[in-house]
Amino acid sequence: MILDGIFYTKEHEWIKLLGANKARVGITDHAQHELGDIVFVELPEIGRKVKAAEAVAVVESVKSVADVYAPAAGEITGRNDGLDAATINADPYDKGWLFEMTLEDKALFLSPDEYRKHIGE
Amino acid sequence: MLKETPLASLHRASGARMMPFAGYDMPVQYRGVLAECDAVRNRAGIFDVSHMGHCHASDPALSRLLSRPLEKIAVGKSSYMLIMNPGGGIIDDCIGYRMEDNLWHIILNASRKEIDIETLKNVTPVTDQAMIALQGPRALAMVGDLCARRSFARNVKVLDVDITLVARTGYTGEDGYEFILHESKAALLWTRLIEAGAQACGLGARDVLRIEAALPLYGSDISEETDPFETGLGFAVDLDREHFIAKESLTKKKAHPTRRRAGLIFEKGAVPRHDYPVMDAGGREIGKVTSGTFSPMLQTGIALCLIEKDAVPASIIIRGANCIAKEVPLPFYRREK
Repeated sequence: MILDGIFYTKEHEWIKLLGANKARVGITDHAQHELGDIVFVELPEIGRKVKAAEAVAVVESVKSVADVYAPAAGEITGRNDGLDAATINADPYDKGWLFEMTLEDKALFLSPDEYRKHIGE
Repeated sequence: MLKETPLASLHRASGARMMPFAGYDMPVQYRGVLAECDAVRNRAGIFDVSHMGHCHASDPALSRLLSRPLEKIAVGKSSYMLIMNPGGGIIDDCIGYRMEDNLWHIILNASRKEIDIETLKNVTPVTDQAMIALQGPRALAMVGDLCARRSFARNVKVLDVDITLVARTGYTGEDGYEFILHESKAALLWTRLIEAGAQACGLGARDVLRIEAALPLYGSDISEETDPFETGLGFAVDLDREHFIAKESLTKKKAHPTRRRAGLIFEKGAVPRHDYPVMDAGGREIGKVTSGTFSPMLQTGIALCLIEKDAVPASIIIRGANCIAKEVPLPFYRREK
């Protein structure tokens, strides 16, 4: 499932703008489906400065480990503490959000149609 | 070109996620690994294990290559045993069923069946049989009381399907059966078991369940570089006989072990995996994870490890982070009998 009104990256993150230069980030429905049952999540520390495409979080399923990459350069401003790993499977775009950050650019962003094409839907 | 079991098209039609394993296109999951584990632990699950190897043996001299002698298995009983190399290393783990005084049926791992048959030599491969495992507390209610534990029955009907051999064995730590049947009947039995309420389970769930039960996987926990004593399989070794290829090497290894198996669990939900380093409290590497997973029963990561015999494990390095772990007695999970 792909939602309109948000952005995506080639690495299967989604970005929901919370204002001009701030966003909430998670992984897409395609990503959670590929991973299978998610059992463990590592979230970045608040205040951490990150580069675009830097690995900042980890989502781990029974069978594999996947890095989550910052969709832009910026600073981590929030994290979904108390997130139950299974929620990422059940509700990847809403309750399963991972972290919030400031955004310095949108160079890596894909539109819903571009992401749709990327995953071959 | 991948090989297929007789149930491959059934799996694909039901939407199973398929993946290559031991040269076969095998189902990894149907509903999801955790849902399938829950089904096996609380109700009943079925596994397509038709990729495994089968052979018939009539020559007791084969016992020379086995960790336990064939003659010591009573007719009608099964025995877990190891195919050994002269240095005390494990060529494969297998189960033998003594069908008659001079006929044993031996089941081999899919990844080793060619090597096993080459090693044993004087055996007849059996290639027209499929195998389905039914495991879980509701297994007996579903198909009836077919045989005692560690026994088997031959030429019976289960859910009105002809079965060559049904054994009360398994790889999950639950009660249940493994059905060996002609490949032409496999789809019928599979479908009937699903209709009776069994959950189709893939290799993903199979791996989680067997690690919870501390059962070894060839290639991960045991290999030609490990001996039975250091991997918790000393119970499968009978040293008290003359014509045993590994008698000398294993007698030495039993007397002077250098490594041991350890079961570790985590305080937090990190997932340990094969080959991750195991550390002592002083930060020295003392061994490796041989098999690891997330345990739905314990709701945390669990690991089977091979470590220095006298070391005390304290943590496992997971992606550069030192994750505190605690040694616990094995198995991690045992069903109250």
